[in-house]
Amino acid sequence: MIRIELAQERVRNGERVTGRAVWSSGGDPAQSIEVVCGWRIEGRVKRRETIIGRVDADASARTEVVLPFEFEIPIAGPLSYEGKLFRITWEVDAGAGRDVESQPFTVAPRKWDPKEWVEVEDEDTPSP
Amino acid sequence: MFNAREVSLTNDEGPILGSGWIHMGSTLLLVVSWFFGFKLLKSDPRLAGALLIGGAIPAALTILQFVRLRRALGKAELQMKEEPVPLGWSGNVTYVRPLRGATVRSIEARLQCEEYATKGRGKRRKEWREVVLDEPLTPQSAPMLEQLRVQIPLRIPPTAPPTMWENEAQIVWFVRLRLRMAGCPDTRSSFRVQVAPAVVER
Repeated sequence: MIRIELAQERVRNGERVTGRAVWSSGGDPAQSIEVVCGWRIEGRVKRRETIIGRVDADASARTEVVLPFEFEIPIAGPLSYEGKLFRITWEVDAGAGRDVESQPFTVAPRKWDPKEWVEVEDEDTPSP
Repeated sequence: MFNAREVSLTNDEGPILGSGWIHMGSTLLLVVSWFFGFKLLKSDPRLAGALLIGGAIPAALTILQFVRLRRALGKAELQMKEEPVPLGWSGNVTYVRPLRGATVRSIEARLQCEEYATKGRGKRRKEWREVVLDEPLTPQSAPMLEQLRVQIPLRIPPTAPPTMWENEAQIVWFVRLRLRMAGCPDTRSSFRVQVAPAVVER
């Protein structure tokens, strides 16, 4: 059995979502435990997932694993969104063997600071 | 991706000549009538002449209207002190357009946020558009000779979505204007405004 404990259910773009995944074998062994963070878009558009971070740990010959994680949400987003044609959902997924678990969270807009949005030479992404 | 600075948005996407179907129809008529006109030029010169002249009239009217509009109105600009703007932002933007002999009877301005979605490719490609926010704006025009200068107070709602673009999904913000004119045909303008994924907190 695997479960995800999120430290925050709501983060802002540019901040970090933290927490831990806890797996106990319950007689069902697993080789490894993996946690991924990303967002998916679905609705009238083709469903697509984008992973922004991944951590894993060895679970072989163990009955319980606690895997802490920390993922930085890109400053460019996207933000969580429930629209008319599509929606954007952020979530942390954890898997160990056949056990899988998902925990959605909300990405809300960060506080406005004009300096953050100044274009940096030779860089495509905005500097935080 | 974003660049905060004083900007003039010159990407006026509004139709200056009205519906594209009229111009497509007039172009099609020109091509077809000239095709048969030149074919019949030797066998039936009178009919050929009628086809060549008749087919050219709608296209000529379109060109004439375009020249009239360009002379009377020139190109429009939307001036902003900063771009992108955040959610919850409020301030003035300025719509500037040359006026040469034409006068403005009324101006209607709107702030619109639209979603676009596409699916599939080629002939199976489908597109959808939904307006998720549509707010009337209250433009304040200052009387000036030779130029139309309109101050438009703008406020981006703090709970609205920011500009976003993915392969098949987009959120686009527009400032749209509709100008009813005297001395030249009515016209419209449409400007994309970049809204950053950040919010003004007071």
